[in-house]
Amino acid sequence: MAWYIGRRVLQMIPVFLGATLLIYAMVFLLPGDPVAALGGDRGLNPAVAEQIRAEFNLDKPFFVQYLLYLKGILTLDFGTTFSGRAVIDVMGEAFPVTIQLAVMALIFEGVLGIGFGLIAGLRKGGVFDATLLLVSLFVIAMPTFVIGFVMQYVVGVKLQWLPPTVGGDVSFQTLLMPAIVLGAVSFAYVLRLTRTSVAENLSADFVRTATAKGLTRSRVVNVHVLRNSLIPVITFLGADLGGLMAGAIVTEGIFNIPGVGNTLYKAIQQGQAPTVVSLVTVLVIVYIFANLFVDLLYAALDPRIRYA
Amino acid sequence: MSQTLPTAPVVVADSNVHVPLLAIRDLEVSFTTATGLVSAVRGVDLTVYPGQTVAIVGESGSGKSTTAHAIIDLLPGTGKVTAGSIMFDGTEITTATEKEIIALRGRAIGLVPQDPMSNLNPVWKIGYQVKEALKANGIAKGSAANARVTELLEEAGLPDAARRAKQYPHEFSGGMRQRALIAIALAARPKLLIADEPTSALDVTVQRQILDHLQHLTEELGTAVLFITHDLGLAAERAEHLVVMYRGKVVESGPAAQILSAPRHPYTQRLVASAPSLASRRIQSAKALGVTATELLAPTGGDGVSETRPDIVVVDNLTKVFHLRGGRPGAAKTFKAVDDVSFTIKRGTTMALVGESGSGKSTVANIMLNLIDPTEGKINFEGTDLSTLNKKQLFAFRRRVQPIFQDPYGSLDPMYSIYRTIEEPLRTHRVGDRKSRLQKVRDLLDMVSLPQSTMRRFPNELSGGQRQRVAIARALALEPDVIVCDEAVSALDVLVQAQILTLLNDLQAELGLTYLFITHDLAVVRQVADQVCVMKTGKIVESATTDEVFDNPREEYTRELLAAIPGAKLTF
Repeated sequence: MAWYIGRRVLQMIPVFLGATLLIYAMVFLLPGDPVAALGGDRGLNPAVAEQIRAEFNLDKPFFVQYLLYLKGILTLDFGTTFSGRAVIDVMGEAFPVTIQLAVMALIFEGVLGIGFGLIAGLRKGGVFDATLLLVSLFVIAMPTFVIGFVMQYVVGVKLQWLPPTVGGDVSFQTLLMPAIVLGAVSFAYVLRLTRTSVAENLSADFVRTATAKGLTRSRVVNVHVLRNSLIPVITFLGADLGGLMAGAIVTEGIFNIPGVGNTLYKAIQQGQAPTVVSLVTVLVIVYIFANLFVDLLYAALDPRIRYA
Repeated sequence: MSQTLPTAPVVVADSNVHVPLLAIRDLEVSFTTATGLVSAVRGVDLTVYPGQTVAIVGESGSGKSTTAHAIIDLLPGTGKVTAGSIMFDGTEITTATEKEIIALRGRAIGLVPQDPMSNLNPVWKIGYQVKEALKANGIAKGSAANARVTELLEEAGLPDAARRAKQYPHEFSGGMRQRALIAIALAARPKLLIADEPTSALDVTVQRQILDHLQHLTEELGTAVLFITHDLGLAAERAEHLVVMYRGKVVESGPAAQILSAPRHPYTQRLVASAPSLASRRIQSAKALGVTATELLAPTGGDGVSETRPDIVVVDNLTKVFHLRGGRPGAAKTFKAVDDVSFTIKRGTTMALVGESGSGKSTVANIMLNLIDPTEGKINFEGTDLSTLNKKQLFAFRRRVQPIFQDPYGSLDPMYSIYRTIEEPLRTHRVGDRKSRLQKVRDLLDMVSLPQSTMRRFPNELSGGQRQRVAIARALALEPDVIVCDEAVSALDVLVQAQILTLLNDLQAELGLTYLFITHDLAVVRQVADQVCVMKTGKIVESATTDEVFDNPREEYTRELLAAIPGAKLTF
């Protein structure tokens, strides 16, 4: 077990290097000169431009830039933005917001998806099941921004049940609607996955044996069907956590949330390599850790999984 | 078994003996399908008295399992009792409420299911799953239940039960799992135990141990047993009363000895004639009496001709080592699946490689087919060392050795029509043109006694026996010299098994084929093989002619395997 975790952490090193290099290269290759763009239409004083280039190492070859950046990271110095703020501070503001949003979305899709999926699976072929399948298909087919704008208009503006935008006021209440929008598509997938898994396990031999022991229906479902059915669902949820954080760009845009997505979007537009690479690198690491966590959880649910 | 067993709640009292424990009358069960109602059980009558063992015998689809599941109201899917009555110990099951049924399950009727691999929940410990049966039926709670779990597992013949109870199903072998399932079924001391093919998924020697143990336990506890099996020999050996089912109906029932000696219904007569376990016993007793058996026997068996035939395959000191990955660096292990195996097969004869699961017999087959490379040793095919072949020669060699696998459901591509399946090897090896290949496929279908119309059909439209015929036709397409049959008949019903064995024997006589016949079932070996090699943990422990192995087995292990063929106690 310790060996397994150790190996997985070691595997992160090449992933980390590869991801940062790739992202750094992509930002570097973006068309346009970020320093020139800073001056707007009037253009910068060539001396000032030179100074900024020197300060951000933009005058050096690509690999040197990259290595200097790596060196900074190892000393927890993620560099500064063009406006002079430390990138680490920017991240410190953006990440808590996005994490809160992602966790709320995950709880929403997990609890409701598994709950409804279980009921649909137990009543496969019934009216409830058919309705949920139709609804989930609808949600999957609908682009997130459509769901977002429609909910924002109906729930936020017309009915005024929840605040339509977040802005500077980050709280459970303001994030509730964005979290539902963010988790909507995954909710539909979780529901379908749980339903299929439950329906399949219901006809498993061991479930029949459990029934033949004289167990009540509720015990058979809770002890023998549910736990086994959750194994694939948990895998999906874990992989989705990373996706929720990175995929919040659209949702954060719609609801004007000062999270990672918004910050990243602005930084890409301005060609701020250190900010983009740092944010994405942290996202990659979050993704890897989420996956490791899922693998460990997987083994807790399924004793057949051994770390070999 | 020195400990005393707690007595069953119902002592078989004299007054009770003539009142049936279970009485099924005119039972009809149907399944709803897209095309309407399909009846699976049609008017079955069956009676089990307290403490009696009754066996239902039939092939797959005969309705035997459906009947058994109807008794505890566990019919799968859309199955429904449409008529008739099931009276169990004073309760009418067909009209009982859910609550009454739950009270009966486990407490009064126990179930030992068919496949031990899939019948234990993989995510819970064995002990927990046994304890559930105790708690659900109000037998014991808490630490008393834990102690009882250990006792029950011990009673079911599981060594080191206290430690084993804390393990998960995947840490158990098939035989151990079946013992755990028996412990669960008997936990609440039911009056009736339904044993649905309880050992058909296990190795023969394990099968015998478990059945012996189960019989001993139920006798001691006075439990009535409804035993469901496809093997007539096994049924006759284990039950006093037999019920033979065919297509949802009971075609014959009566005392076991009577049915074996004087079967009245044509279906039963065919069963008695072809069950391999019985046939092999008959061949043995006929030989003992000095009579030539009329049974199917290998065409060259013991005729002396085989002595002069040339060797077609010579296997020399074959060893195969697999590397198993360890949990951490340095923990990797090696596993010797095949250990110094040598044998020769003469042209036109059948060599049987016999062993239980894990003995390495299938690995030998895969090396023969050149699907995996041996670690050491070599195979000479008519004087050519297979390891020296280059890619092109290997391609040519593959034409000469063809396989037939165990599972006819898995070994045919479901998306290929039968024509395409049989034609594929011809096309791969660029034999003939379209027209001649079509003719060849027709000839091959004739050879395996399938109608021409089969060509346009797909595997899912064929029965298991028909699919295996297709697999044989495909193997014959390239006119090979050697056919490797890896458990080629084990997945088939007994009557179909007999037909396929006859077909293989006829083809051998007609085409001069050489077979390497891999099986766990010595009863089948008796019918087809000239030579037998018995394998155990990667080594050949005994090698001789079939007659010698059956008449004078030298090794203890061979004797065990022979004793495990059902029907040893039956006389002919």
